[in-house]
Amino acid sequence: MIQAVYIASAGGLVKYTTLLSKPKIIRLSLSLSLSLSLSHCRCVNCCEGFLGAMDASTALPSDSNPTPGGASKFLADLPSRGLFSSTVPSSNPGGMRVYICDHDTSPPEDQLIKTNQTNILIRSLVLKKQKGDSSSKDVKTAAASEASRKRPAEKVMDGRASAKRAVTNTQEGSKSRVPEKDLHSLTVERLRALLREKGLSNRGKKDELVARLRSASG
Amino acid sequence: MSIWNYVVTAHKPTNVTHSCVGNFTGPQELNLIIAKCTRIEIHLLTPQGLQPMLDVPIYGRIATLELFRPHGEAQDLLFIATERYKFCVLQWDSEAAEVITRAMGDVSDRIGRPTDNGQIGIIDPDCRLIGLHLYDGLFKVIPFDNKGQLKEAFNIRLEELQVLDIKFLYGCPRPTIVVLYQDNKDARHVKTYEVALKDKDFVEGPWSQNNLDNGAALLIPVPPPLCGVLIIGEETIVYCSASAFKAIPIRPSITRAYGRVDADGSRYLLGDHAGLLHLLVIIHEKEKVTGLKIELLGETSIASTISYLDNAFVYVGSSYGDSQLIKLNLQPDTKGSYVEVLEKYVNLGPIVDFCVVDLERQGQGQVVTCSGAYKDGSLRIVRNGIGINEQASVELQGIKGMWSLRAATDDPYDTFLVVSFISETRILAMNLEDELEETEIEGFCSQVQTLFCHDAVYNQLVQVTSSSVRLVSSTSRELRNEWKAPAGYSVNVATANATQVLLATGGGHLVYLEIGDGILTEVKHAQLEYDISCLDINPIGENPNCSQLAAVGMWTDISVRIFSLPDLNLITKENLGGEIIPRSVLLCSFEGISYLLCALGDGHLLNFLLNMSTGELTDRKKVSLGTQPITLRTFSSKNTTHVFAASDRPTVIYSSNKKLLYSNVNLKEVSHMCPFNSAAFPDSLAIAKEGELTIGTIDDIQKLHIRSIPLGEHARRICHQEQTRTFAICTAPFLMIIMCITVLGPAYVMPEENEPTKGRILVFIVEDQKLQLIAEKETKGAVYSVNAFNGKLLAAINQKIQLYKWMLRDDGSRELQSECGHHGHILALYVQTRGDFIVVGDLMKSISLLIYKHEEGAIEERARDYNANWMSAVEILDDEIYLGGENNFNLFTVRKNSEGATDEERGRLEVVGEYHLGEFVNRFRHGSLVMRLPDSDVGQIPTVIFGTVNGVIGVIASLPHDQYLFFEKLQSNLRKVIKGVGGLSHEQWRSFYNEKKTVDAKNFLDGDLIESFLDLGRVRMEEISKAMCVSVEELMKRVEELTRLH
Repeated sequence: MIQAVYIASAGGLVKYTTLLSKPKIIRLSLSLSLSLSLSHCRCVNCCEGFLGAMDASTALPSDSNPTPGGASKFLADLPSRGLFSSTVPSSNPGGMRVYICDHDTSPPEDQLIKTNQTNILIRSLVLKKQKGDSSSKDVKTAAASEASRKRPAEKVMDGRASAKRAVTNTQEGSKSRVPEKDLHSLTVERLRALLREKGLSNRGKKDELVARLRSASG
Repeated sequence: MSIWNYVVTAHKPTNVTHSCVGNFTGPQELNLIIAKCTRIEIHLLTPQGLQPMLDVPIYGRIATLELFRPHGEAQDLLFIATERYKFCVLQWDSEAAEVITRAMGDVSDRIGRPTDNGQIGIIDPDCRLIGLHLYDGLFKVIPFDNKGQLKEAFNIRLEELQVLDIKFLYGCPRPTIVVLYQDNKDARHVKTYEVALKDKDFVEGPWSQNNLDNGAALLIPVPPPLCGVLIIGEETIVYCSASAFKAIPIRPSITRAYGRVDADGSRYLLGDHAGLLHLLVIIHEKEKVTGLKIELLGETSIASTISYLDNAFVYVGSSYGDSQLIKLNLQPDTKGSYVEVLEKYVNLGPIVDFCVVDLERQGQGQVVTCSGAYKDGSLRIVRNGIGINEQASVELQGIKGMWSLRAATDDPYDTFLVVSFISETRILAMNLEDELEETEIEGFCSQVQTLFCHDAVYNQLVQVTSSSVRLVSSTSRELRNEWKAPAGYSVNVATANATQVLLATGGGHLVYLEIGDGILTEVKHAQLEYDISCLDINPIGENPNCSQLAAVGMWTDISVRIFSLPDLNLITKENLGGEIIPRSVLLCSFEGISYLLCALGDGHLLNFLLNMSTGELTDRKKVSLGTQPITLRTFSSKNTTHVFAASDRPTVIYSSNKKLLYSNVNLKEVSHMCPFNSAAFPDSLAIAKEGELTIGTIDDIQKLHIRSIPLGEHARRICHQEQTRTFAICTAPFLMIIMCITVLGPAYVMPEENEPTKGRILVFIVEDQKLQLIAEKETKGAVYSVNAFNGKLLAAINQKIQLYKWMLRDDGSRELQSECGHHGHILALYVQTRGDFIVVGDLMKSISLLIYKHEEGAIEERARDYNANWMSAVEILDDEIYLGGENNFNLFTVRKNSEGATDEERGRLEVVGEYHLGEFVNRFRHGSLVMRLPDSDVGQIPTVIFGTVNGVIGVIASLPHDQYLFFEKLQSNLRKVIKGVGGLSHEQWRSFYNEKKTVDAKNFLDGDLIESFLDLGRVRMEEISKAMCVSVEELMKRVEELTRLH
């Protein structure tokens, strides 16, 4: 005689969860015709029931004042480029190809990036020095060809910077010639140094010093 | 075990740490790129959904992942920085389908304190520079030139030391960063800086904002036209720009991830620590921000990354639970949630603890892990092989064969199940109520055994019995035609497809019939010299109804032959050798490659590559699947064809990466199998085994199968008790869940409960499926570990190792009584024992070896490793060798030095192996994921399984020395052929690395690299075989053997 037993289990541990969630365990014993009722038998359902119970216990914490449908108006017009348009997104078919990289992966020669190892302080000093040098050069060339100035704004700035630096480095500044227009932007000390260089008196107020320098440079 | 170890990943990392969306693989192709710690996955977005493209291993732990597009490029480039201070810029070469390296470099500094809050890597929206914050107080800049090439990097001093987040602002004439930082009074502020590339320095930025929310931890730069930045706090969200400041209060929560929805940055998705998904909306009028609005959308896994894909679909990557593909619905469901979870991607991480059990008692280990954290905590049962989920079963003895038949040729589902016995044939059918009941097909002969059945064209069915072939109408169920075997001959074996029948009678006669509409025609007859043992004409050519080839297995000369159809000309003859006859042959095709499978009577399976046009058989391979005769049958699952090999160890044969793979099935002794795809049970299989007919569905065809049991809370420890078949799971502080099946005898389950300075040891008894507390002991500190030790209980309590005796009190109750202890650790976190030896993994002081002296009743220290390693797990490999995992993602082995001349030498554990795993190991356990066949070499290799934070399950196998040397040589040869993506070096990646030292890996082999040998092209394999002076076949055989370890 054929005996039919219905088992609601995927074996192993799912069995335990189904026990926890108390699924209907149906035992069918059929004698004449072999008939297995299969339609109710979905372990998935049991698990879903369990998950459902979980959901209930960790139900959504209520917001301070949840307005029903409040988010709806903000969820309208979500961006779409026509992807995911199929109503039933297909599940991942098969696994993913593991990439085996057997070509040369070293980067182009100049794209192997290293970090500049100079100390930040030293670098900033060097940069400043370079700038000082280049600005004084700029000043010279500017003086030589004032008519064909390319980037006036930058030069003015550089000039200013060099003027500032003159406080700390009069020696360096003294070597340079300053266009008249910028004389006012120089400090008194710097003006005096320039005067001394030209062998003129370095006494008096700033305006006097500027005037004296101007008259000297003609 | 030995000191020569082979480390291989059995389950790849699944913890999703980063994701981004962009046009990586082509200007028109939109990709989702996911970082899973040491791997990146590239998916393609299609109208049908996410389509996986590539899984790219990276030699480093990914710290940042960004897509960007330099000026003039048609597609995005991928920027990856690794935790070991390497970075690379990758580009997809769509012609070669390769990832090419645009740039790479080392961004480490010799001096610098690594940031506490994680590395930050950001790219200027206008692609002027890449910014990196790797060390406190330093901001590294990698500038781009006009052509999108990178230039030399430099550091800028950043005044703020405790940086929480840095982002680039949009729409600034000069590259501007916004820095969220904490001052020394723990107040949080934001500040902006312009990066002056010429001066290589910062210039004060356009604005700053002091005294923000104390929990502010995340910055979201807002793209033009709005610009500015959103500062996400725990209680407020602030929008800040040079001209505007808007704030809204939120329900207290810690925002973990955000995803931008609109290109103009007016909507964002925020995921918080409880897995709640919010929508943040910037309300603006004419490019002027007027306010913020936040709305709760629903619940997801606890997100670590959120990527808006398209058309309301969102990818939620998670570190603590399964990653999800969700859809945002316009209308809330009944629970008020706008979130619909469409798909879940399994994530085992973080594996906090696991145990190896053999639940089904088949000699195969299963791993039960405590996975996930917080609300996403779960138990996962990880099993190698494929599971059959039994749907129904019925007792039926003596099944000799089974076939499923359809009611009509074009019916998509099977209706009949023909079950053949030694002297009768019964037919089962699905009736209208979706029940299976016995039925009759009048045209079939049911008084004799059926040799073969098949659907045929013109709504017909074919039945082959020993005396005749019957053609039956499937609609009227009446006999339409019959071919009778010649008198004196009976049909021994037969096979058929929709239009052809091939059968063999005694005396080596081979008869070929063709099926017409109501007619069977004998087309050809051939006489072979020996008897025929098996046949197959499974159509694998272009015509799905008709085969051009027939495979025939022979008695006596033990050969398999290929005949052409319909003329029955012999094309190929392959002698199998040996004395075991072929019992089943099958023509099949996987991934467009045709194979001939031939199963022998002793459980061996031979496979050949079959050339469809010439019938040639090449690439012979032999594997052992079991010990009993095998019956082969194809079935399909998820539209892919696989082969089921029924025997004492049933196996599913499938193909991946154009390689045949064998996965065992969680069933014993299957004699027959046939697919049974009915309407009520799509894609099911009917399986005959041990006096039983079972109908079940099959798991996804993959190597490891994972089943999930959600707990809704964070499981910390798990242990399994063999006698009672129970699991004890210790979850957050005081909750226990116990699951029982049967109780055989009382025994003890000892969980631990911990509090920093005061703890308890609780002893429970499992009886009648109930957990009963029988003893309790207060301890002066947290109990980190408990072990059974010589019938006593060994506990690690803070800095101390304590041994307890189990004493019977006068009143019959029992108690734990302290016997002895050992001090001298910082925190004794992990304890393993073997005999009288105790191995302790300390919080900071690496591994030490203690011994318990019975006579004195004392525990003494024997030896220790004097390196400073912060341990995360320990295990005893054998009497001499101990394995440790530490918090810089390294593995190391130490050896007891018993032969040392002095006490000092003997007291030192010698470090013998070092390796950078790149994974934080939480637990080692002895055991194996695979069935150990006693006859295979692999069966002799001892293994340890480990589980990590990223959800990796790995195997460490101890190899014999000669094998180790062989594979070491192979590894070094492979390094020359398989290059690290992005130019990252494998050697550097596997070198042991911590704050103090970096040394080359020793006495560990990278199995992942070695096993990728099998995925190489033939040319590359030959290159290696030449360098190794070993044939390709031999190499493949030896590597394949290793793959069977996991």
